[in-house]
Amino acid sequence: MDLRKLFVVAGACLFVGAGAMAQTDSGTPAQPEAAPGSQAKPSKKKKKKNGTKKSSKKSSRKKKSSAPSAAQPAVEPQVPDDGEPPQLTHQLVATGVRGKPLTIAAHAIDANGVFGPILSVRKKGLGAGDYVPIKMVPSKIVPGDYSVDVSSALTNVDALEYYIEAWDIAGNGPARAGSPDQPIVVTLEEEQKVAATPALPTTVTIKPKGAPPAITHAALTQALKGKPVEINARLVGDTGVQGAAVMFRHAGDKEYKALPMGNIGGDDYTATIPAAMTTSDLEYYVEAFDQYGNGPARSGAPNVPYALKVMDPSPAAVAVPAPVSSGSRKRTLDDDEGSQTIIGLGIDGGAPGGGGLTLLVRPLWWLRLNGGLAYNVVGFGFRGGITLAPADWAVTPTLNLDAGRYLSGDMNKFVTVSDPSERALLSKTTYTFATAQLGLEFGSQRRFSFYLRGGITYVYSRLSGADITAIAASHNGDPNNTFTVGDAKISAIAPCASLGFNIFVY
Amino acid sequence: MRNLKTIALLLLPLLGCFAQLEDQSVTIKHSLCGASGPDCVPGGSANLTIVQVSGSNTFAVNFGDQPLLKPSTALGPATLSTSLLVNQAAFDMVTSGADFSGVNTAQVLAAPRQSTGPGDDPCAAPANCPVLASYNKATDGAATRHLALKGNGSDIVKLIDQTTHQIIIEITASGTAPAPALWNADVSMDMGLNSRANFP
Repeated sequence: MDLRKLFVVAGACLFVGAGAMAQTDSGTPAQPEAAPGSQAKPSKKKKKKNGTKKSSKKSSRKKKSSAPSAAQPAVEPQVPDDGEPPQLTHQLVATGVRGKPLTIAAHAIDANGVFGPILSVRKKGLGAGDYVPIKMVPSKIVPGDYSVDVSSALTNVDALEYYIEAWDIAGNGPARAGSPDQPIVVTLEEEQKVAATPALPTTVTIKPKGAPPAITHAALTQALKGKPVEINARLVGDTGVQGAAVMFRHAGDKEYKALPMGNIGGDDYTATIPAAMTTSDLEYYVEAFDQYGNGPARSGAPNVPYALKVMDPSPAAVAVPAPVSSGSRKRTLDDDEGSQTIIGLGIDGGAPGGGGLTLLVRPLWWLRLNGGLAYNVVGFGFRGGITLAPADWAVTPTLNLDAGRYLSGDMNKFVTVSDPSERALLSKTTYTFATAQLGLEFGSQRRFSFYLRGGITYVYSRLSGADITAIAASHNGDPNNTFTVGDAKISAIAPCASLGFNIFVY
Repeated sequence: MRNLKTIALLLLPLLGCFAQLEDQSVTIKHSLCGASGPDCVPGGSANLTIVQVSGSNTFAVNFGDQPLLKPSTALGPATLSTSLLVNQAAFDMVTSGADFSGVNTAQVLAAPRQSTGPGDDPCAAPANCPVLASYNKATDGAATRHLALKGNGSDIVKLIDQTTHQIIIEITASGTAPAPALWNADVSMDMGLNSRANFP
């Protein structure tokens, strides 16, 4: 009897044990990591605890039922919701290589199965809404292992911040490594490489081993202040080209700014440094990867960049190398080289100087020379002078100094004189003049400007003594008198004003 | 306030504005007895006091109605001020065989009025007659047919009668007159004319 009881009890224990084993295995067909293990123990304990009642009920049912019910583990494969998030473990990533893909891995397990994990990444310092979510990919080799490569496009910064979240299939979670508020910081450093040859040659060709593209780039050395700078390079790679960029910074700055290069046909790429950035000397280098991320290949380097000297856009400035030489181009009004116009025409009028039509030449940006014809209604003359324009503003103050001479003139047109001697004198109204005027010019110094000027003029003329003697004789009141008069000088300093316009055409 | 100062500074050059006519050589020559008239000045080596012309102690020089020969002339908003300063005067002997070698001193005076007769000297009181030019044999050297008198910068314009356009001249001298009983000479005065109008 005792032996029979012993066999019954042993058989029942084996049955219950086999049933329990069958339930455990069927609950994790797709989650082998849920198998008993040290990391799963806390969950298992709770599961046991929660399942105790069910188990007791089951066992009571099982006790009531017979062995077949215990022999159906596949019919009830789902593990009941344990109410717990996945267990997430992550090896922190503290550093990375700037501009290269950054691999982040994690290990997540859950009896109910793992949803995700999701890597959220952002540039350090950005806002909470700037995280970029990336789903991590499960390993095909190690169950529970997940990883993702943060693309090189996102690693061209000083530092990244990230956190990882994971849920189970039942929606429990998230389990986190890091958090949106306290993300894990990855410092991205420049790749430690041996410095390239200094950028003295104007053409540098780099053909590193492997797949990175070969870069052929004619280094620029000079640029004009306030003008965009176009940087061209030829990128040839057997495995394609991606991530081509001009990395530039102001001389003295530490950080480079990335300027993506665009393909303009064939193997040619270009990028333009905006005019707003050409305020002082620049440094730059060119880099590119192949489509598999191999690289970067570089022309120039972060520690040995090309120096781009930014110069004032004066006529003396040396032109930046251009696809078409400026000498072969004809200037037009719409051309950007309009700022270099040096020849123009001026028309003005005023009092008492009269009007003028002058040819303008600007040998220096602040200096204009003028020379031409003068007309004052009485007669014609010539004149010339200089104008100093110490700025190139919309309203520019100027100092103008002119001198000239009227070669002919007949004042009898304006004065009613009957004395023939006086008429003879007035018919020879010639004079020399000089003016000094301050003015304001409105418009472009390089193209068209209108101006108002005011100042003083000095006029000098000499009258013939013979003519004056004749006049005196005609007024003589005594036949016993004889007059002899020498040449007379007439001079005057008087206020003057003028207005006019200049137009530079070449 | 600062702008006002700037504007004032910019306008400062205008204070120097002017118009001016200069002629440093205006010469009027007057024949004492007329260009074709008979000699009319007493000589005979007599002692000289006042040189009488045609029996009068003074004679008139008519400038005529010359332009600008007014102390001031309105010229638009400005006033034209004129001066006619005597540089020098001279006697040039016309009578042949006569000279001024006996003359020790001579003065050309601007008289306030015409003399009414040989006994009437408008310049009896020297203060009434400014000296236009003077000669001193001791300092200027002996003269022959040309006797030059140094001007003293008197402004003749103020002395010209603006109605008659005349200036009354009296000549005083010392020494002896030219030898001929009557003689004639041309009196000339060289003057500097300056007419200037200041603006504003």
